Amino acid sequence: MEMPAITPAELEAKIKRGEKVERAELSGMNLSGAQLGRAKLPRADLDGANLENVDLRGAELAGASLREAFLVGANLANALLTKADLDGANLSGADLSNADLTRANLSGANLEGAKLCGAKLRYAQLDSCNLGDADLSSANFSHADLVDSHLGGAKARKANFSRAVLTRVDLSEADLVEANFDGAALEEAVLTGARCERSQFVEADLSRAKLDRARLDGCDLRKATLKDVSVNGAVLTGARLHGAEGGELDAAEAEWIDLSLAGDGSQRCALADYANRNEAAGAENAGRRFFGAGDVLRNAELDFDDGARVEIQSRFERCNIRLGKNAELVVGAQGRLEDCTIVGGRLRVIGKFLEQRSPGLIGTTQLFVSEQGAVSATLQQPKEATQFAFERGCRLRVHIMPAVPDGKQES
Amino acid sequence: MSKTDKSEAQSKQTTVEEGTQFKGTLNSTCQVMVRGVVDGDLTAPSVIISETGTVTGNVKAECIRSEGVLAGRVDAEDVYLSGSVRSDTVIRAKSLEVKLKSSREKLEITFGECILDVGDDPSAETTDSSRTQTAASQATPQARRSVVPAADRNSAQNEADEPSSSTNHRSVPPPPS
Repeated sequence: MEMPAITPAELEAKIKRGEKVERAELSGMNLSGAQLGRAKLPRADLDGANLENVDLRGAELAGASLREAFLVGANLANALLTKADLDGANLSGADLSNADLTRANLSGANLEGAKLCGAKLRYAQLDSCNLGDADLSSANFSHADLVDSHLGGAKARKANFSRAVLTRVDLSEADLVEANFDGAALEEAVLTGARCERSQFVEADLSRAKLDRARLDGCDLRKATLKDVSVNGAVLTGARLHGAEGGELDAAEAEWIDLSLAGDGSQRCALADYANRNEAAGAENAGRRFFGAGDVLRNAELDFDDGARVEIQSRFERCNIRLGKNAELVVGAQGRLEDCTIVGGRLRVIGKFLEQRSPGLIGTTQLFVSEQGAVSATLQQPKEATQFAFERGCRLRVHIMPAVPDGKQES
Repeated sequence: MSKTDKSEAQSKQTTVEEGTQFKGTLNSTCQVMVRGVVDGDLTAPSVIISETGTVTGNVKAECIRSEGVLAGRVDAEDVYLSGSVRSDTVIRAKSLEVKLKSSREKLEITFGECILDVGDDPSAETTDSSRTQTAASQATPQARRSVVPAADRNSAQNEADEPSSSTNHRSVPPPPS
């Protein structure tokens, strides 16, 4: 049965009374500037309607058809648009903050400069969309289809693009800090000049993607596919690259990269080592000792050879550890050493080293404390001073002492 | 300080130029750049010590960036260090950053005897079991000395001179040759 036609005035009156208008036939209607806040219009037909600057805050438009609708400057904040059809709609400058667009169709829609912060777009169809300069902060695009879309200059901090299809998407100069692209398909995507600090790209496919001048500091690229990526001038300091496949990264810059399985910074190396990562891992494993999480070791005396690499993810209490020349001890993120003494070697603390019966660190040639690391200890430097590195965020109660002059050492 | 005052202060800078030696107390509402020598107390929103600069004394600032020589007592929110930190220095900060020099020719930073007190106290998280184990040692002035700032050390040392009945002294292995 066909619904009788309704005038814009009648519609506004019904909405003011809080009436639900299901399957309303409003296609082609001029509703520009109308006050339709909290309107209940499920499955309404608004194809080609003029909804410029309309107030549809908190409106219920689930399953509505808004194909080719003109929604420039419309306020759709908190609106319910699940499974709505917005194919080819013009939403430029519209406010869709916290709107629910789960499984909506926005294919070919114009969302330039739109506000989509906190919006839910899971499984949404957004292919060939224009999202240039849009605010996508904390929006959820998980499993969405964004093939061939333009997101240049978009602000997408902490946005979730996990498992989304972003083939050939343009993300140039976008702000993608702490965004999540885990498992996303980004083949041939353009991320030129994008800010991707601390973003997640675990198992993402970035084959033939353009990452020139992109900031990828602290990015998690573990198990990502980096075949034929272009990284001229990109910054990869602190990027986690364990298991990443392919990719010549020589054209990028990085103070260090992390090749550890856990991505906890326990296996730092130069970018040049990325090319030889498999050989390096082999050599690394040869002299490697590992103490896993959950184990507790008390009152032990441990000696490690020259060049050994010891990783502790367990708990050590009152142990004496002697490290040979060039040996390195890594206190992993789960590791905790309490009232232990470490003599010689290089020490990298990602977990905790706490001692109160000083000195706990004697003749340490290098002390590195990561951003999540904590050290409470007295360190007696070797004759050649200790090399120190502390990351912002680390916690320290450290008493640094100069080397004990010859003949004055305690026995 | 109002917003305008703050931005004005940010745009202005007090410079102690190379070849200049300043002795006394320097309080500033704008950034202080030290290329010469400052001997005394220095308070400013931001202090930058260049490679040629030296600051000895009490330094209070929101942000301190030192590539020169630093000595004394430093209180700041953010500290970035390279260059050198002389003996008898205490650095108290919310965050500290020290980078490892990529080239091995020269150390990024050298520390004399000093105390770094950065962020929340990690030893506050010590578990109950270890707390029991170390309770005796914590009670000794000798153990406490390791986390007592240099400025407070005299008083700690005086305590250490007093006889203690529960001294827990562990033999220390010598450094490797």
